[in-house]
Amino acid sequence: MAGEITVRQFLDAYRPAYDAVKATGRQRGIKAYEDLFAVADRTDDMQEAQLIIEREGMTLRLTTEDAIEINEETLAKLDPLDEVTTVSTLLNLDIYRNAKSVEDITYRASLLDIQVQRLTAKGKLKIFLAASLADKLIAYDKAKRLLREWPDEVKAKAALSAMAGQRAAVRELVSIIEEEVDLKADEIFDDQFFMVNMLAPQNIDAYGRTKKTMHPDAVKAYREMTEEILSDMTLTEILMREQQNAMVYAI
Amino acid sequence: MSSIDKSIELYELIIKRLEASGNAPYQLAAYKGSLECIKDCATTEEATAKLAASPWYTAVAQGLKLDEMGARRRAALELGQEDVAAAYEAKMKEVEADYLKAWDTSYQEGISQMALAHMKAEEDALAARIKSIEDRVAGLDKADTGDISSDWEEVKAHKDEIKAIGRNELARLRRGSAVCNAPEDNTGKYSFSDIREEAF
Repeated sequence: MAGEITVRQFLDAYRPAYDAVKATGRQRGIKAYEDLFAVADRTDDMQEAQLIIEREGMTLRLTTEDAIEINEETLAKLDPLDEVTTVSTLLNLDIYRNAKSVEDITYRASLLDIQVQRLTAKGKLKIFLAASLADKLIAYDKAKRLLREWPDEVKAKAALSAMAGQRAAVRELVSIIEEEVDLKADEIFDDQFFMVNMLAPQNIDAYGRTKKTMHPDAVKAYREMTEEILSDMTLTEILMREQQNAMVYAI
Repeated sequence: MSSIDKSIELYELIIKRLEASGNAPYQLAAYKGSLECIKDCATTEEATAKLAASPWYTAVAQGLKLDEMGARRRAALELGQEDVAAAYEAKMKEVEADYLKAWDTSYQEGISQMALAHMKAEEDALAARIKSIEDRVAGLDKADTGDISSDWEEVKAHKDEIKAIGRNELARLRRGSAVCNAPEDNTGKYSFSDIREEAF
């Protein structure tokens, strides 16, 4: 009908946005636009075109597909288990993957800044607590070893006191870890981010996907020492028990 | 399918989507009202004329803006940012009365200032909390070891056995390093390569 725009003309309104996405080379975003433009090949009827667009959620996909790809690309460069650097990317991915409407995105994006602050702080706290636990377990192990070497009575007694002190400190620290980062004693070493931060990690690549760490068997020693510390064994019983997983110190 | 039937189906699809979202009550009401308005029309021409004469004519555009502000208001409430929520509520009342006011965005500057203040307060609160935990952990080094005199007597009585166990364990101590590799995604686990070991 004269004066009425065609489906193709209607969809051409999306061309400038498409050109901008196409210039980035991001395939999911490009496909979302191309699927939309292809509606003009499926029907000449404007109402039918609107029905197709609505049924297939095409306008929302213009926003979500490109955002998902941007965040997936970012995540692929990062250590996906790093609870500090991935916070914003993972939250964004969750928003765009689960959005049912533009308003869902607006609502959840409005929560994002504060959520990122809180989760990043929690991640940093986990790093601090993991490093602190490793330090105290190493100090405990050293005190135990010095006592068993028995240089003389004075040093042996001081080592026993240090061992008792580190035992008390680790017990308290395990309580703090549960209170602050929701990890119970038996969960600490299965939490990948916590575990890796007990191994003094140093990033090898810029994004931390590969790290130089202590020997992974150190985790077995940490676990065994923690179980020993939390047990009801007396100090003598501990000293008379040979650790199955001997400590592996850093080179 | 007739033209009016297609219009009705389109409205029904939009209503279904907005209901699923739960974050778009104004648009939902606008589409429901519009559908009610046109559902008995025989042609799209009649429906267009009837809608144009109804309050629903501008309701969808108005709803779009109100839902955006409503989503932001709900988020502010959830975060305990009462001032931000109140600012959105005031603007929403203004837009409800006159939807052209939605395009006056000067109110956003005040909200941005409030949001920044909340971010700063949050940052300060988190820093204070972390500092208190760090202090608590630092204080663990001064933990009371209690009376170890009875332990000491017992340990002394087993001195030779303890030393023997120490020698066995010392022989098994090592030094080492590794390269830790991140998994593909956050459901995976770290793997280790280039594992080096040497005697303690």
